[in-house]
Amino acid sequence: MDRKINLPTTASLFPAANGWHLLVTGDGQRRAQQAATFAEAVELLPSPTPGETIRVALPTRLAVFERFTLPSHDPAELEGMVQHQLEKTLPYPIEETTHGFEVLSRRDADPEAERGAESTLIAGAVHRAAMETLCAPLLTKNRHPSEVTFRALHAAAQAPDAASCGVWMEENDVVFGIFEEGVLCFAEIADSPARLQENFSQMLLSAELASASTRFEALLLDPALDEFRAPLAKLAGVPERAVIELCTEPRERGGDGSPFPNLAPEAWRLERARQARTRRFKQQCVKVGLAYAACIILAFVYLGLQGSKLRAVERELEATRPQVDNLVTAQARWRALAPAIDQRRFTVELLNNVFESLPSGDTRVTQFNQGKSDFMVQGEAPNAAEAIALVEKLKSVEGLNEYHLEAGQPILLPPNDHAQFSISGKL
Amino acid sequence: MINRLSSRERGMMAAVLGIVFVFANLMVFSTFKKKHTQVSADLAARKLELNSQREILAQRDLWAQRDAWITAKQPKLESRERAGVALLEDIKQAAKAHNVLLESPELGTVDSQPLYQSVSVGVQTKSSWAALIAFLNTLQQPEQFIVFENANLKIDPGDKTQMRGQFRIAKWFAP
Repeated sequence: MDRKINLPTTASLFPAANGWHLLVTGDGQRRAQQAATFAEAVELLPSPTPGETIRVALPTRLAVFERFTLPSHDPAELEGMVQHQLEKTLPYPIEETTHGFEVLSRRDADPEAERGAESTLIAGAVHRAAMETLCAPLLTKNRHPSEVTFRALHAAAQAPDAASCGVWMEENDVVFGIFEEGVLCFAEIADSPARLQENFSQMLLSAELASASTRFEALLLDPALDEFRAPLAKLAGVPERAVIELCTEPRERGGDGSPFPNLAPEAWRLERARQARTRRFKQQCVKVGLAYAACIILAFVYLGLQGSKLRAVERELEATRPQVDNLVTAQARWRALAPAIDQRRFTVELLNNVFESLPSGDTRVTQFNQGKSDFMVQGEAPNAAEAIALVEKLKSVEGLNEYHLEAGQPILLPPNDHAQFSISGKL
Repeated sequence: MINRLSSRERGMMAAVLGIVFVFANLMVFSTFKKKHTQVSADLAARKLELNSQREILAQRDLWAQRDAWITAKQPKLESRERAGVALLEDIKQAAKAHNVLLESPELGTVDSQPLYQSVSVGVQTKSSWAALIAFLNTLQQPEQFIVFENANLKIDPGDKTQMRGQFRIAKWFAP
């Protein structure tokens, strides 16, 4: 059993000989199956898909057909009149039924004969409780039919324009219907083909009383009743060559024919709309949830990548650490021995830098002290400017850039304002 | 089960779920931010350390040469007792060569440090400026490992053409 249909499908459930037919179309597929009961047919339905259409054709045994001639052509007015007439004829309150009608013929107003416009129509009604009982297997699965029609109307859609009759099977019932211009105008049920033949003349009489035509030009016969072709043709008064095989599948009206009245209650339509909204909401929630989850995953993947990068850097650090430790030890050794091996730290080099920086021959160094990590120069300059110039020049000497040089303000010595300076440098 | 709830109950359930969702998000965001801050800080610190290591490693050859040079050139202390005398003798020869008058020589003790052993001598000098410079230049050369641990120079108050110096001169031997 192939149930893998994901695109919107159309499933039609309709009564046929000895049970129910299921026809599934859509997604480029067409699948027809037979079941003994409606519930079994429902079990054969494909998994629910968004936008699916479920059509149910009700058996004639649940229908009450009434033929009315009403003084109007206006569909809205006719609806009200039909409801009013059905209230008088139906065996249960109109509020408990669902009904529809189809116009058989219209007659325009004739002022000369003082006759108004008239419409002859056939109204079909079904007790809602009976319909809900039948559709219970669907309703319990929250799969409310979107279209509910009568099976007999689909049979009528295959009839020629001329008056004709049809005989077909619905579950275990045999249905006799009369069609005028492709519209059902009378229907009766028998519990077997034999009983139909027995009661055929009585049925024709009932049809005449209901103003239906009883002179037929064709007989539409269910293939399941083919063995009764000859006697039924004889009873219907049509030659055997005028017997047309009735298609067992539901038929839409061809051309620009109006659609069949949809008997699905408003509550079902609302429930389907609610389910569609819920489904859309869930889909949006799923999309938002997936996007959110993707963001979370990306964020933590990013963290993972950063962590992985960190571990890679740490591995590289660990790999180079022994070499670096050796080099750092070598650097420390060099720096510790710098006073003995680095010429820039030699006393003679410091003295050379100081004397090279003297701005003029009049500036003299009077004292020089040096320790392991510092030195101090004291002297006299002819004026403060030269003392300051000496300090600035010492700061720019490359050989002294390891020392932090400090110098206080020069002291002016009377009587000739010679400037006494003191400069210290520390590593 | 949700279908069995009234609209008020559904509203309350949505509110509770909303609050739980918000708090769960706050927890997730907080955890992420904490981890991200920690990982970013660690990564920045390790990268800095790595760059520093790379800079050091880039000078690998230079430091290897310097280390080898020190190992090869730093003198070994053969006798702790005679090292000071030998150093003083070297100083005297240098002073004699450059006409520097040495006064008050004083032998110091051996000072052991992790990277060297220092043998020092204290001397006072009197000389011209040029002689002093030549004396200092002769004594302190890189391969001699001689350090002026203390140097104090000033013009002789009695003779402005002469310099008076007071030095503590040390030789750093290998440890």
